[in-house]
Amino acid sequence: MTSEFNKKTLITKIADYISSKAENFSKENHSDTSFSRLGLDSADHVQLSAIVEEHLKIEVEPTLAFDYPTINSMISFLEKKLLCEIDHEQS
Amino acid sequence: MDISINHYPLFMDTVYGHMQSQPMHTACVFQSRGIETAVHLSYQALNVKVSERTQLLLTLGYQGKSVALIYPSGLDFIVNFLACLSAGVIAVPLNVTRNAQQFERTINIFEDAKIQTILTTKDTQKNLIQQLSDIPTLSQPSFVWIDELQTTLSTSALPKIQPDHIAFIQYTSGSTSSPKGVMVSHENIVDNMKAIQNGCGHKQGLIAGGWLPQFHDMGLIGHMLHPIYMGGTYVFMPPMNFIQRPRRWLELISHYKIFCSASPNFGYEHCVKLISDKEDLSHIDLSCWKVALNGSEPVNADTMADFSKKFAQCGFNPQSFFPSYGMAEATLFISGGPKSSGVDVITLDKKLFAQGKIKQSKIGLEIVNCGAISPRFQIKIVDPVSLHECSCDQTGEIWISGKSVAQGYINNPEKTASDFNARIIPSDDYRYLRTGDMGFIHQGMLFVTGRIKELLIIRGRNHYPYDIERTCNNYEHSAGGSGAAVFTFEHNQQTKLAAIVEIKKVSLRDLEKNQLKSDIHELVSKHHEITFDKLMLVRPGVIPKTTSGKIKRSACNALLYDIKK
Repeated sequence: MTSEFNKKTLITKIADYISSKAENFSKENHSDTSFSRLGLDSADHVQLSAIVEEHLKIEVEPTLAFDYPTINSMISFLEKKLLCEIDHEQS
Repeated sequence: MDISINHYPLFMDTVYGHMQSQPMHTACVFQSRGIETAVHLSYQALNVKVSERTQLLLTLGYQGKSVALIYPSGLDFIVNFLACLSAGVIAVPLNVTRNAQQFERTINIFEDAKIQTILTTKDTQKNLIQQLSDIPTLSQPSFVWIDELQTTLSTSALPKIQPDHIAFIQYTSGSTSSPKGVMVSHENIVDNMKAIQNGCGHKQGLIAGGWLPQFHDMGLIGHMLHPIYMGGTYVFMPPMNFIQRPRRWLELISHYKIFCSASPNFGYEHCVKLISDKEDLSHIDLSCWKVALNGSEPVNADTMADFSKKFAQCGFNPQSFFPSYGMAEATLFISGGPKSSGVDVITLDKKLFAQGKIKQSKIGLEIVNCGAISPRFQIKIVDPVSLHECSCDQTGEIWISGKSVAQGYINNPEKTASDFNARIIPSDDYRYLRTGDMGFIHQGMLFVTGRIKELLIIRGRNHYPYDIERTCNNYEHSAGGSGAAVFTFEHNQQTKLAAIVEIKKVSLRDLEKNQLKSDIHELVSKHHEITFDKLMLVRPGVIPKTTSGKIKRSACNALLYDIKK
């Protein structure tokens, strides 16, 4: 399925954005570190939700990154959400 | 409805007039997402809702008392705020906080204004109660919550409200630990409505609005109250949706043909930076936008030039730019315009400027014209130390007097006396508001050059270095005392935020520096919703201080620069 591929590029996009804002960030070490610990401010948090919207072509709440404040928690939430939406479309 | 005849028509008298004369006209439009999500309220519908709420507040006996209004962006806030005005209840609009750390500021405000009652929605109440329970040190206060489910059938007569009664309290100034609530009277509101109308060249039926939060002066007075006062339409969207995708602001303006929309400088910058050149903007027509007000943060001419260039394709007219100056202590508007003046910059001799003298020169320091001073104010430029009036070629503190100047800070007679009742030496019999801003007047136009008070304005919000330093000092591995310095520095013509924090020697030795930095970033972000562009950790005693222990911020700047090299 394409969702695996999407996930990888989405993580890369998110990681690129965080790298542009935070010193010493690495995808390998910080996938479970909260965005605020990495030095992202509230506007940066909202920006992450925009990156997700752009990549997945779905609408998400601007507060997404506040509610799911690490890369891993955000991705796993999105996976579930996407699955639900696919189910919904099929039924 | 029987309108009580005052000699001085108050804000709600005017609005009740519109409700009678144009009931079917749209008063407010709130668009939470796309255009299909828009909800409208006609003047008639607004009247019904406001009247119901007014009756509830009167029945519960809140006339003359302060209540907090904590609402997410939406129509509920408008209805409840107007009901407070109508019932003579003193509204204290506050933002919906995201966590317990932020809610502590709200608690400080409750104590300062002696608030026990919160008007909010059922959903918001749930979140706030959760945050309250997360504050460990707090003995559970007993608040009275009023939500949308409470109603009344009573129909009492509306109280007679005097122009000098307090209408609402605006908390934008003051540090977290000692918040200052500006007391705005009913007369202040009306006077400032007239100042805005005149300054912006607004006509009856005005369409205004945008994304500004409703609980802050510019969104509350400028976007929300003003178009309703003018019998027009207030159009708005949640601030977060703008931050997420700034194109939505421009789409809102285009779709509803908004005439006046305001933002601090960062909003215009956000559009320039985050609306990609690849985005299709062909459906956006900004030719309706005649007053693109820029205020509440220092106005940057480069940002406005970039914005004009980028959105010329959407029919944006650079002459619509409207740099302005204002503050909650003056209700809102002090200077700006006239309409269609665009951005005007004056160039001053740098050397003389450093000595407080104004002399135009070909090259030098560029300062943006903040527009014509509203004729409703008397303004003086005053030496902040000697309190003598400055001569016309000098910079000094901006002092203002007029009927828009608020009644002082609630429960703070000392600050009220020093900031709101200042007198020039020798006295001219006027009492002045000391704005804390430095500037000068040139041909009737106001130019703002800087601040006296140590205040950081980030995305239109005031931050006090002291508050952020305190958060850093409270970190478990910090050396504590006054071992943190927060200050700004310039990088590529942008103002950036930096901090130097002294860390305990043991912690520096035993712990990872990056770990410590992450902890501090997290703390500051939680408490203040901002982050440092540069964070430096040092051993105790490194931060430069004066002999009396005060932090030398300029020396800190040099320290940062040295280490960067």
